Amino acid sequence: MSAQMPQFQDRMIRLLAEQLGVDAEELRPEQTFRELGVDSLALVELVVAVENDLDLGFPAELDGVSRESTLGEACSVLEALAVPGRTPAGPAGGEARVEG
Amino acid sequence: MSRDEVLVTGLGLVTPAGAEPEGVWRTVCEGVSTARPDPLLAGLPVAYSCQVAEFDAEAELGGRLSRRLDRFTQFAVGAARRAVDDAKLAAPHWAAERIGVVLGTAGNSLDRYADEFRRLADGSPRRVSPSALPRSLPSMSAAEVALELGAHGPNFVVASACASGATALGVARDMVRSGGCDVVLAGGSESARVPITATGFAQLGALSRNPDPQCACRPFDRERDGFVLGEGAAVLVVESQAHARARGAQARARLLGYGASADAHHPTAPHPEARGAEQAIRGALADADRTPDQIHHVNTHGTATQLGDAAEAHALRRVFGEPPPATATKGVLGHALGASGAIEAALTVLALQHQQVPPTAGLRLQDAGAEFDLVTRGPRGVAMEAALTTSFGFGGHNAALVLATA
Repeated sequence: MSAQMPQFQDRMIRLLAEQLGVDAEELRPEQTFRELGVDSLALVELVVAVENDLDLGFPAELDGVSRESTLGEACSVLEALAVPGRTPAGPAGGEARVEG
Repeated sequence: MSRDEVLVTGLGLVTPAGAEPEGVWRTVCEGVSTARPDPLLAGLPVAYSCQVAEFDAEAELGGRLSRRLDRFTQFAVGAARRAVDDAKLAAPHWAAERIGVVLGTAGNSLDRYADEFRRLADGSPRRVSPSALPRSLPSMSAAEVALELGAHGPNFVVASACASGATALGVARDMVRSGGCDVVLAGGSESARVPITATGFAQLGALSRNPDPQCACRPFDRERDGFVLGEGAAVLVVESQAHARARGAQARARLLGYGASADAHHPTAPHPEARGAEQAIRGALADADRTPDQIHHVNTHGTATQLGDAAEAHALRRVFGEPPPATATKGVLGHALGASGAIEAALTVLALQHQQVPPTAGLRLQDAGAEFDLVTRGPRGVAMEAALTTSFGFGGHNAALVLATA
């Protein structure tokens, strides 16, 4: 884990709290996305929000981040995969499944 | 007619004059414009609007839902909840598969697109939110109402520009009349308080440039110079008489007639002789089995554009000779575009219930030679059984509804 972890994690939790309309204090790192009612679309939305907010890029495949991941696990994976600046063109990372 | 009648058993409103029918009615009867400077439109050619202020989406819908929804969908869900409460429509009379939702909306919702387009322009398509697209779909208002209330019947949005809300009610009426649904939650919702949309209307020359917001919207006045942007939603519970009777529901009004037409004349200008408007009005009267002298009040479309109001006055004078006491409620509420036809249908229901015609805010002197009985200054008591409301949109879409006392 990098020394910046707490800051990255705080930021990501704050962004998720904003998306869900709850206080950041209500979200704990050991909760999974499924437990928080975050579906696959909302998870991709969170990843994009982190990219925009921290000016980072993630690869298209985010192995190790799913609805079963805890917030803490997802933070570790995302922080390890992040590269500064914008990402190349291509679909957003994650596994949004939609129809229509 | 032996056919089972179609009733309005509930009203749900979210408007710049509030969200409670009697409060909205009182404000509309005061005849004072709700327009004021709009911080969201600061710096644009026209920087005022009529705004929904007393609707706290987060408090009402919760954080998660309010954040998932664009503003027009928040309004739709808020209005639909109120309508269902007003109609006291609940289990065991909630047969989900027999309850449809048909809402009107004029435009695509662009609440979030400024940021997303900027990301594209910056060469960062991967930073576009995946929810930007679904949340902006016009049909999302009807979808989210169904999701919120558990309505499993037919569900869609109609678009006929500024006639959309009235079109939705007409289509809903047909769905109930055909026996396809027991109940349709019908109306419209819209918010155009987005810089690109407001700028688009300003560039079209459709908006009033009056420096004083309070005096800007002047329906049918000689000095009218365009409309004032509004926003909001209205949902009416459109219910078969048999279903209402079986559950002991009180009707607020009957939805007697619907007429619709296309000008097929010009993309944005009305037909100069209001051919399509007249056809829609005559169609609604025929559908309601009423002659012009059996209509006792008209809630006009009256947006306060030069051409639109002139065409409407022409159509009304041709159909009625001397039209019954009329009003143009956009003088108070502004123009809520795809929601306006539904809001005005709701106000027509309230007019029938109160036996009162509200005044037209902003009207002093009508066009010479085109005058008709538009109520001004204060509300006027009028004995009425049936009333007409008209809606006309860009593209030459015309819709008219006839409502009657319960």
